[in-house]
Amino acid sequence: MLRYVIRRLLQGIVVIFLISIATFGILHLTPGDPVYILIGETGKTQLTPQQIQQIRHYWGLDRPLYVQYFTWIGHMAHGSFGESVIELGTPVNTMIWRAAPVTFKLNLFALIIAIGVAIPAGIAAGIKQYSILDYISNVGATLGVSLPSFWIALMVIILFALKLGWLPPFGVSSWKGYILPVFVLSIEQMAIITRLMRSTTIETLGQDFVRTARAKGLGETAVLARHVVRNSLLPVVTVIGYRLAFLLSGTIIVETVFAVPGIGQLFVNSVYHLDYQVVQAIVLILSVLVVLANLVTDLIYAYVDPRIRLQ
Amino acid sequence: MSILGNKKSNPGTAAPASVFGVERARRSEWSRGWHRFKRYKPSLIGLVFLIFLAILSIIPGVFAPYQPNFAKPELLGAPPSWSHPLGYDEIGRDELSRIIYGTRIALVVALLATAMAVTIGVIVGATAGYFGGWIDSVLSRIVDTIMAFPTLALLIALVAVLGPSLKTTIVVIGATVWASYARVARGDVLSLRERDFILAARAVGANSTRIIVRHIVPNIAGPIIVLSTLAVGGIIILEAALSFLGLGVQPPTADWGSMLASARGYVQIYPHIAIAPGVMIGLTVLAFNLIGDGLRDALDPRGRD
Repeated sequence: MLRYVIRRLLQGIVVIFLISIATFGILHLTPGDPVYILIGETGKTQLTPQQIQQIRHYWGLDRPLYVQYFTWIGHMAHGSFGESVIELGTPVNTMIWRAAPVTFKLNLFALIIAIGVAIPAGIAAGIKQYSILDYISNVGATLGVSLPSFWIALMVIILFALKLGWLPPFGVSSWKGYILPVFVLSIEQMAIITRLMRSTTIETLGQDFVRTARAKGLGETAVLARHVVRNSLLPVVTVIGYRLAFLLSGTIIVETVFAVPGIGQLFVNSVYHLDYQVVQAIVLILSVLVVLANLVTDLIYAYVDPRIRLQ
Repeated sequence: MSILGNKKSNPGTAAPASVFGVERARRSEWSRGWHRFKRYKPSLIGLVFLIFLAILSIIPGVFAPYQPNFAKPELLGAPPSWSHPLGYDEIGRDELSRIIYGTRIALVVALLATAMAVTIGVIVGATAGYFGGWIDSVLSRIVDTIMAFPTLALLIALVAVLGPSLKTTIVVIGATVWASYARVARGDVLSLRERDFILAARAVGANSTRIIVRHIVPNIAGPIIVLSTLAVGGIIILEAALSFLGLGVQPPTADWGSMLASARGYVQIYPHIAIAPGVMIGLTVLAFNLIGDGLRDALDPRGRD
């Protein structure tokens, strides 16, 4: 187990290092001098070469690439993400900490609802294969992965906010504002977890130990509760840990449509305003979060299921 | 069907089969696959719908009643009528015509981005799986790194630097989603590498490139075809999401995602504009998913009941 943990930790560190290089490199992907990204088209025509040189020097863009990288990563490691170019003088940290709680709440509620609906639905569909219930959850799951979230968002805004007037169309000034974004964000996860729960349940039902449990005279309810459900839950629960990257992609869209002042909206607005310090910081934070979530999931899985760590 | 058709003439599987005189068995594997595919009715429906979309995208002018960018400003936001079944959009263009022209963008992005991702993914994955050792470690960590980024966040950051356009959309999607193909290709190659026919090929003096191209790639084609068909839906949604955020295909080009973006601004006064583009995205994604499910049953022995 210890050897597995160490190997997995080292892999995680290497991946975080590569992520930091990739995130740093994105700004330098552009053809030409990255200083032009910072000052934009108007800056290009209005600033004198001396002023451009000053800006380049201020941001350290005149130093060698590796020096720039280590300066940047040093700041990141200290949790200092520099200053926003647009909201002049505001540290990027402040902007991110201001937005993070809303995103956290949104994603947590969405995940709870997705799991709360998907796990019972998937188990029921798996046990009663080809029943009406299985059919309904199958159609729901298929629609859930096929319909784009931003379209579902527009439709629920039209229906519940504009036609019925039950809920606010934008913003999260009251708890009512969370209902629609949480619902839309949970749909895709719900669909995927339902499908997975169904197929795992069907697979477990075919295992030898289920037949043994039935053969020794255990009642069907006890077989399902003690043997089938318990064994099917494990792979599903761990997959939820790997879904974080997809959840975070979804939050960008949902926050933008519903004008939720979270990380996703901050990210998209920073892209519109070409505020690259913020863009880089958010990409780095989100992907490091994903790596950590995957790592923790892997370790929990290995702890619970010895077959993994012995491979 | 064209996918299956292409595979029939694949020289990679032909060579060993004719050597051992089992030409008949080889041909029937693909035709058995087609029979299994046909049995699953939803995927046939998906295929028919996809062929319909392909025709729309090749000759949109034949079906669209108006030019996609022809506007009648006096009729902006007019609701559906008999001559305009989907109504007019926010600046007075025929919604139905724009939907039909939008098919082209969706399919072109899906096709080219998938082709790019499959090519990179299979090359990287097959190389990692075949050579193993430090090459595998390096390539696998790169794959892990790309898969750790929330795809949409990475796409948006890349578009922000490169500038939004149709070309950028295709390139950044292709450059981002290849990692999952690499992972599948690597796993399959790892298990194929130890098989006797690879040993036999090496024994008769085939070099690594020849073994990968002629013997390994044809044998992992099935799972890769299944995976790429199932992934096309995700790519169509990513393209639409980028355009929805104003970071993909730029107006006035008729595109489903950007149609939804402009509909969003007028959702309070002209809600009818917002419906059709989303339905088309949903149906197209659904069609690819159904075809993918059918192909999985037909081609991928692991997914077979």
